[in-house]
Amino acid sequence: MMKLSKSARTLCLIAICAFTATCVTAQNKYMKRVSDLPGVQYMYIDGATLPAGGVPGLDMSDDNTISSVEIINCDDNSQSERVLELLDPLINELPLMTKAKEMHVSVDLHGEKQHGRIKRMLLLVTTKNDAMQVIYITGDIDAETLKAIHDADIPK
Amino acid sequence: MTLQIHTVKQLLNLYYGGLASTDDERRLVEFFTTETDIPCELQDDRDVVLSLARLGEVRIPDGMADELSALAERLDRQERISRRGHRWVAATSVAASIAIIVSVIVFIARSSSTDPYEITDPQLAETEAHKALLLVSEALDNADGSIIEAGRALSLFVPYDSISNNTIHTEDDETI
Repeated sequence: MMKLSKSARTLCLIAICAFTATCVTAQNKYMKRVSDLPGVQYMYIDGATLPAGGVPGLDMSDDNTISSVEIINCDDNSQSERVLELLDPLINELPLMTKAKEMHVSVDLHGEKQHGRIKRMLLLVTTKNDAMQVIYITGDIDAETLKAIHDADIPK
Repeated sequence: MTLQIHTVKQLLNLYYGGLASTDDERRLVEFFTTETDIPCELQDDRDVVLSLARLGEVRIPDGMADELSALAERLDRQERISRRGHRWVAATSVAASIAIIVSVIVFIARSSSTDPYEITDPQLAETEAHKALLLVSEALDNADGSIIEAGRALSLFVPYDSISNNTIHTEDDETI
């Protein structure tokens, strides 16, 4: 009886350790559910895949980290509504930072910002013909550094 | 010696085992009372036998046997219940652990299987991430630009400094 209890305890301990390890190493593919829809392109980039030095314009050694980048492209206007429906919980979770409309393009930027640092950001670009692009970035990036990427890319 | 020593030892064995008959007990008492030359090894036995013989017959209360058997049954039942409870706890723990381990293995197996949507090429990942960051950066920059423009537009009605301080002054100069 005592022996069984001991083995049960050992099994429980192994299970807890394995579960914790799984949680720690788990990837958060928030938008993956959209990938099953026809006419929808989905891409997931894990932060670990990116070069250690960072991407052009964003020096990752400078306290900036990207955990994941998820990109959705949808050219099928019949699927756009379904994509929005599936992303609705995530969109509602993040406060709207800005909404801009220019001619045929509408841009919604949702984000979670803490002390000038961006933890999560979701960009939703829709065109008049219902083509859609969604970008979701998680990590810990300085807002000013992120803004500077665009400025640095403009040819002087 | 009326009784041989080894016979006495046999009788003592029966006596201590509770198997001695009344006659055996009488023979032992008689031996230890009458015999003067008792070996040293039997001195202690002599004291025990004679002391118990002096006590006389112990009277067992009526119903004592029933009470004792009921108590034994109750204790036995309690032990069985406790053992069954422990067995359930152990079985449940083992089953839960196995379930968790199986789920974790399945989860890891699924996660480790190649995801067709995940970009694993660092070069491509860098390019795509850069494109995505550019778009987000542009939107963020435009957002800030819009806020500044909105601020300028509002400054036509209220002092610009007060807008940059995220406050609007009313005619009564009350901060909102």
